[in-house]
Amino acid sequence: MMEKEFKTIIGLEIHLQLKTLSKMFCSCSTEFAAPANTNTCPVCLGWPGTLPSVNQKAVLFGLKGALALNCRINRESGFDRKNYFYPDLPKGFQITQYARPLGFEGFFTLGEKNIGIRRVHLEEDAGRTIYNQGNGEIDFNRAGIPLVEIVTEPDIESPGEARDFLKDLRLLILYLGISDCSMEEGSFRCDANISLKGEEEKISQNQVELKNLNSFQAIFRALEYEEKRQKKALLDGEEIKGETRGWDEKEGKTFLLREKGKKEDYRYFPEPDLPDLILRQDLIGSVAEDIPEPPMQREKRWQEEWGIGKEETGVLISDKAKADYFEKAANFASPKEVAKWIKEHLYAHVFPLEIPPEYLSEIIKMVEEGDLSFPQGKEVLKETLETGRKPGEIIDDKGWKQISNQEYIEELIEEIIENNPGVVQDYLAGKEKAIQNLMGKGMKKSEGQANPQTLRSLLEERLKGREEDG
Amino acid sequence: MEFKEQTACSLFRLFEQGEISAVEIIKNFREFQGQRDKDLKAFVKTSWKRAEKKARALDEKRKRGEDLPPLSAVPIAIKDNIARLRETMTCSSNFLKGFFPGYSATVVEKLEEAGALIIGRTNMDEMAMGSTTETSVYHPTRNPHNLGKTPGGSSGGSAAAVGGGIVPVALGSETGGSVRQPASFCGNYGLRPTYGRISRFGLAAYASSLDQIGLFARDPDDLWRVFGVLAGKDKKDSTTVSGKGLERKGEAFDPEEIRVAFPREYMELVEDGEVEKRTFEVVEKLEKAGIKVEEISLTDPKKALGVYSVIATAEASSNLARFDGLRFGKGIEGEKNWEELIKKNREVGFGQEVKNRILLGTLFLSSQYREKFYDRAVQVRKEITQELDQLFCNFDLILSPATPMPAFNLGSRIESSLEKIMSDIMAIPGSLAGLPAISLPMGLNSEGLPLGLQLMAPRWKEGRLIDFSQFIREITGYREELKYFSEGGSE
Repeated sequence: MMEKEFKTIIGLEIHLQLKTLSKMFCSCSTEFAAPANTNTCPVCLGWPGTLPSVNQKAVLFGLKGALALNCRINRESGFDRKNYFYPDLPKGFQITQYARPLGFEGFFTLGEKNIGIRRVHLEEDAGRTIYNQGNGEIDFNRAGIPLVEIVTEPDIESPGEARDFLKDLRLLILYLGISDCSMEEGSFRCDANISLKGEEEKISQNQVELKNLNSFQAIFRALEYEEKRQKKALLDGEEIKGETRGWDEKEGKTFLLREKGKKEDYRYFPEPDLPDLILRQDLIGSVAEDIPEPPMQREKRWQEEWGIGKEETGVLISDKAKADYFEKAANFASPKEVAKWIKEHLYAHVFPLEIPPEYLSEIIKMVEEGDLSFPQGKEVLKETLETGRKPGEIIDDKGWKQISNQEYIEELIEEIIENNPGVVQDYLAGKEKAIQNLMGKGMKKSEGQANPQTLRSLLEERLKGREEDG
Repeated sequence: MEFKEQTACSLFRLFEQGEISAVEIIKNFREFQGQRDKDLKAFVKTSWKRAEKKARALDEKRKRGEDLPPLSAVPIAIKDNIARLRETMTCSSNFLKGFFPGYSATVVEKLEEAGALIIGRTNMDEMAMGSTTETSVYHPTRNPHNLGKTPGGSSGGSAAAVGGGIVPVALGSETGGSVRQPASFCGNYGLRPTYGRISRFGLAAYASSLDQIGLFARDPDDLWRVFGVLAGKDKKDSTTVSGKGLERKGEAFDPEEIRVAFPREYMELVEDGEVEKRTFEVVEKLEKAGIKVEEISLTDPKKALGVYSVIATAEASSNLARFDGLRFGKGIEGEKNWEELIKKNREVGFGQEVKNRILLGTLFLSSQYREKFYDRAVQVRKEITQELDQLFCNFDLILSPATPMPAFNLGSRIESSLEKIMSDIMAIPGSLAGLPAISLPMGLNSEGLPLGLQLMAPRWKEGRLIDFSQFIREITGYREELKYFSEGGSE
């Protein structure tokens, strides 16, 4: 008997903390890891009489995110209140965008496929409850930090695809510079909805929501576990219940957090303390202009146009500063060589480097063209990084410039042959090693500046000629 | 010279000219307040020491010949839901007893910069929910014209303080009619400015889309002076509006240019013969003076009242959710479960009227009833707003009584919430539309109780309200019937 086939349906909700200096609706700092409850004020603590004021920067960041996700923009959007009681929710409601999100109907290109983006909206974070020996302790530093929530369509078909999507999305957001996207610090958080659908069935089973997934690995494993669990249950003829589940990293299992029996009634209504959010077309235009080339597209371009290998592009693209630096340096030297140097010799450095990209390309170019030996090139790079001096100056000081000039080297060779007839004789007599002796004499005579490769090949050529003459 | 009989404007002038010192003013007012408030119970807290310190500084300033800001040496009271640094703000609620907000409302900052002497905080209905000041956790306030009557509410303390001669000016707040109704009951001028005109930052919210800080005075010029200080865009309140000038014609005001609309539906709500009679007398006097008063038809304010009840309670249910007793205010001890803790804190902290309104509002917003109540109310509110805006294409002011009845007996309407709310009804349509409106004295009835008239104007036309109120005062002489300084008042 054929095993029944199921299709996996995954949708994701991503919360990003925006990288603004101050909170969404007050001027408190958003600094991470400040002592508990020091970044608070009457506004974000929800004291009576206080009112929210919108952080313009957060709106621009949200807009940038929505545009980069190819969303349609609500030029007249606004805020709503989501009402519920929780100790870490100071006002008893969260200010969010419900009826009119900033962006909607977007998509994100993952490889050859587009994942639909249902909505992108702004909201404020809640405080953080820390459980300490059964007691909840609340840190309100996080309360009011601006968030962007991204909700995908259920277009993702496997745990692997979910992970790849999140990795690429995170990179895009990092490129936009709107969030630190740190999963450890909680500035990039993801919830996943997963359900299965029999091949011939029209509607999928109940959704299971997975919460508190704090690494790509956890997301992948939790989804994989859940996929298997649901499949087994369905094959056993069980029904999948709509529920919220958590992920136990140690056990490698999902576990029930709560059943989704009665849907919570959030009593949404428009936030009366804030006017509508009107986005002028010229503002949208200027934010759109500020969006960089998406990293995936950029990487593809490097591979296709410059013939750079996947391994190198992978290293370069993962860090926007590195990628930008590379692209600038690649203007002055062979992009392939620059990529190789960055990957192999500068992997431990923080980008952008302290030196202008031109310095790096100058060194690479000189090595490429034989004006510097490879070890010399590395030494010059080391020194310019340490001192910030121009590579040319360092090379001049060391007197390292290689001479590849054929005429000069030919003259040099004639001189060595003339002054060392014995060694030449040895070589001609078949003592191959004798050429090392002659090379050394030549290098010494040229004070190390002769290009050793040129010297060697011309020397061999000359001696062979002699052999034939003789 | 009786200090207390001076207006804010005249006190300022006397002070400026060096005829009296700010310290003397404070001393005199303090003395009178000490006697008078024993009966009225208008105040929940006084701040004489702070006021005296400020007065001394003002006297110094004057001696040095420095410029004096427009409210210098003017004693002012503020409602207990307006935050002031280093003072408690309790909203007359058990929940907030002992609560120090730690910041000042924008209006308080403006008053202080303008040289005003804030002398204390006035009683109110708990969380501004009520029309009699009887839901205050402290005590009911009494009407200065008859101690057995209510001063109205929710800003009853401020109205009684002004109507009883304790201060020339006081701040209150309005959601439905919490300034105009008590102003009418206490014989004051009470101004509700256009929504967005005065910052609400620092005003404990009841219903954000309706709340607006209002003013009480015994003289239209005083209202204008204080209003001028408070008005303007505030970056801490995003609903305030910039670029709307303050316009008052004053001497150049020509009443004959004013076309007055007189809606019959408002008159039909009048429950008291004398209110009705007096209102018609005003109309008659206006017509005699050459003013066109035209009877017109508007949506029944009872419909507006329904809409108001839904929107105000819905917003209140959300605004008051922050009162969980965890971060501020009174919380009980010993409860471990947070849900139980919040429940108990709210159970103990709020009075019955507040609970009723929160429950109603929660219901109106619940997914089951939202469409039927909240969404519908928002829609009808738009229609009412449009109707009034349209009417103002052909008229300059709308005139009606301020309340359907004069002040009623204390304790008489506690049982019936709807009946109490009816005393606010004339104010409701304008509140929903965010329009400026004023209530002004219309003399005394046969029992010696003040009656009040209401004028509504188009958005941003507070100046017209003040000018026309001044004109009515001149042609009717009703304001002059009022005695503000008699001690006691008969029951």
